[in-house]
Amino acid sequence: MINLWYNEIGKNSEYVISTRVRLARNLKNFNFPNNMTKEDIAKLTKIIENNIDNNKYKFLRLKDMDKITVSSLAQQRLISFECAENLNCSIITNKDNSIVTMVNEEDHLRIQAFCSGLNIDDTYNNAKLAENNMNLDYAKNDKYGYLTSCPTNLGSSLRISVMVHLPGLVKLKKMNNIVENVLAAGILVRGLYGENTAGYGDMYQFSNRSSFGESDDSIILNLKNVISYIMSQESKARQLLIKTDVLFEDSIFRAYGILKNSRYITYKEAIEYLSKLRVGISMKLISEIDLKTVNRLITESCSSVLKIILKQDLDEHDENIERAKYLRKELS
Amino acid sequence: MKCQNCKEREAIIKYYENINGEKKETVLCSVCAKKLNLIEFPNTLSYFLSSYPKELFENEYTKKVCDKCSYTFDDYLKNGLFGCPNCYDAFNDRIDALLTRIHGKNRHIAIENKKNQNIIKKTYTSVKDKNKNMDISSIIDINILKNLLSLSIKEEKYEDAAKIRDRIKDLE
Repeated sequence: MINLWYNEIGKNSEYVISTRVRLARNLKNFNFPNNMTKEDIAKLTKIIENNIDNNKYKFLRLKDMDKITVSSLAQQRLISFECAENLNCSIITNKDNSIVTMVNEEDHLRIQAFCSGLNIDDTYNNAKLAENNMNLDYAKNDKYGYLTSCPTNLGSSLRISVMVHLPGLVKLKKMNNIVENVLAAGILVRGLYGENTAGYGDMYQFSNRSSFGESDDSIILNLKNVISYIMSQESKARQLLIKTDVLFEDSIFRAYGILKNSRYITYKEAIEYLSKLRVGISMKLISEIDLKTVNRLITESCSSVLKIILKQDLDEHDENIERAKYLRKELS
Repeated sequence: MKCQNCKEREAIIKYYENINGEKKETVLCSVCAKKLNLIEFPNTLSYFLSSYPKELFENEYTKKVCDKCSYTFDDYLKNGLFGCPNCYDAFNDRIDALLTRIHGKNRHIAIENKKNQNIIKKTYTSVKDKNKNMDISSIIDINILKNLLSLSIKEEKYEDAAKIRDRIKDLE
């Protein structure tokens, strides 16, 4: 299952990789997943499965899926690693995987909508539509909003995350400053793989910290403001670097050279160099490759996704050889 | 436990790294965590925000049980998660204080999101009533129109799309 929306190019793709909107919901009359019996899990899973529109959505139990596919979903950030490791979880996906709902993760439902580039409004609408499509009775009260297993998610239980590519600000060592500034505005910053990963390939995820006591509109507006501020700062940083630091430009072309010629490349290296190549293309220094291709290759370099494309299970050594081969072929 | 970085100070922060499924756990002191730029990252932050020293709550209270799911308040303090929706009623007398600590407030003012709800409603009906002619002349909100536009393009209803586009042009 390779996500298809990723292959499109959205708004502000020079800076923004993807947008995700997540809603956490729980059903009345059931315990939260961390406190559920096997029987209850089976019962709840059945209720949710019977409630989806089979013309639009597919219901998949993780325990029925092969391991590589499940881990590829996590590596593409369509589901959490916690979900991927939990055989009690199921997922509900639509045709292009732009809606992926996790069932029985930390909450009964984690409805997620995705899009490429920056588009908070449409992604929000898609998540809300997916919520409405499931006609279920959610646990909610007037004082606290939607009831979730962790009190940090109470309220409208809305989390919007925008994945931004910030090589310029990283190079100028401005990230600490940015993180402090946006934290004051109620925005959290994480690395590429969520909780506690430093910015892999200079990619950072910005999301609202809380949705308690705030309207969806104000959360959306606040995040939009922060992202547009970040984009303008990154743009300035890139312009400055290209004018003043030949090593910045050099690192872009070197990365391109390595990707086109390497014979053995780890995932981490591949992401670092693809990230550099991505800036080069965004700044129109490199024109023979487009952003769409680099976005695709960033996804396809993940170990599980690569194995699915090549239709073979590989050990680490062979995987690095095959990854190098694949990148050479795609970039030639 | 000593900090794994300086091996001198007492470690107070657990730092998990999960890169591509590969998990690493490091324990650090606050000085090193700050030095390594890790302190701003969310788990460390939510750790501070959602972990409550037991001493804040009377011993008696931690034994209190939710009548619906038999979860105790102590269970919550241990893993940061409640057992069922009813827990919010069962532990009601401590939850307000808890939420003030986490969110800086303890009521979710259910501000109904009128504008956005409209958009959803409209796009929703337009999906349902495929055969009906859309009356777009009464819609004045450009955002709603733009949503309808992208929807009708998705549904390949190009005649509708053209009408909506004209309407947007008129309004702009």
